[in-house]
Amino acid sequence: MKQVFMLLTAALLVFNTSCKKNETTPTTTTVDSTTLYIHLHTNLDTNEVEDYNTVYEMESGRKVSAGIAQLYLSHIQLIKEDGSAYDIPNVIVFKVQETEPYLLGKVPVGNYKSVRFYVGLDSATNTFAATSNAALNHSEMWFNAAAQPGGYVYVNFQGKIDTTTDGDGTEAQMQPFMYMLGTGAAYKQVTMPDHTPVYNFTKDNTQYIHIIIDYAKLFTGVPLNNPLNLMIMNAGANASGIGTTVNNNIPSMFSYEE
Amino acid sequence: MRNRQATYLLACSVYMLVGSCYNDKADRLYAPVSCKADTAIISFKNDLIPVFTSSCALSGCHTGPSPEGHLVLDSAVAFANLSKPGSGYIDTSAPESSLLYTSLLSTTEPMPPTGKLNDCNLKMILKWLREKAPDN
Repeated sequence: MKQVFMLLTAALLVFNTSCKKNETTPTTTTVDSTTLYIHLHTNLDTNEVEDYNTVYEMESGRKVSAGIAQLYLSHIQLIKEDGSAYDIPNVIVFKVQETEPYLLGKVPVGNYKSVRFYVGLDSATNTFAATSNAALNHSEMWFNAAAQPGGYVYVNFQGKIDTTTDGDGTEAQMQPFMYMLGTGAAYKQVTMPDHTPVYNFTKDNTQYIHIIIDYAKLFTGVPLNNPLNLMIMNAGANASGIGTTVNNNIPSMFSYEE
Repeated sequence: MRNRQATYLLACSVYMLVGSCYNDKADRLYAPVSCKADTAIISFKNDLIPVFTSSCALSGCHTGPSPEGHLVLDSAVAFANLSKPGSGYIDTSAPESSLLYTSLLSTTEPMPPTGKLNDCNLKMILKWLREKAPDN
């Protein structure tokens, strides 16, 4: 009997240590990147621009419409939680009204608190031929009939706006404006505020950063009832008083989509 | 004595049954609950609209005059709004990168904010995108 018990105990031990199929997933090499897009909305104040030449009413009551609203973003960086930056290489975003998502490429996984970029092109890129990069080959973004000499328009914003003093004019009273912003005067760095929550980029999980571009911000501080203040059409005008005022408004155009 | 032996045998048997031969991949042992995405073409109207209605087009979210993300997902307009050219919600060339789908998997700002959709709903949405997002 003792032998039976010993045999049984031995069998127990054998069973306990065998027949355990612990199928762990085979270890795979961790891919340390993910795909990132930036999703950009075109707004006039609180109104998203669905169509060009549609008249929108700003919260102040002033009417405005856009016939063109386009710009360049470049030198885009992701700001990590510790404040260091990851440069997203070789990206020029040519933002047009009808397209919202723009591929920025593969970025390392991790947590990022903010994004930083330039509106416009650096001085070297501003001398490149239009055929050097598909993003540059758009004649409406050239100051002249050809891209060179003369360089590129960094922000092209044109349309009509109610220029009445009280901003309560009719559509018929709206006046044309043309802001072709470029040169170093319009090359502005934008550092977005810390995003809440921080961006958590995980492996192979395509991510989006959502930003609103409010072109109406360019009118801040501009006396609209002076027609001369409605036209910035060449490189020289960008260096004028009104050009400086409008160009200095560029960083305020950008906010996170809530 | 016999009782003690019997009890011991019984205890050993129970112990062996409980502690032996198991496979921790239970999903291979047990038949999974079926998901339509595994077997059939996904209908936007019949399969996805109910998901959007119950999880997205809720007061304060993707409905009303000031919807979140400027996107209304009420049944009457959901397809038109999602398929709006240039919006990025649907990308049939890279379905997994569609904004509609990535929003549902986001760990930064998960959609819906109240909790991730169940696996079957996520599979149906991805399958519909892979099927070229028809208005069906």
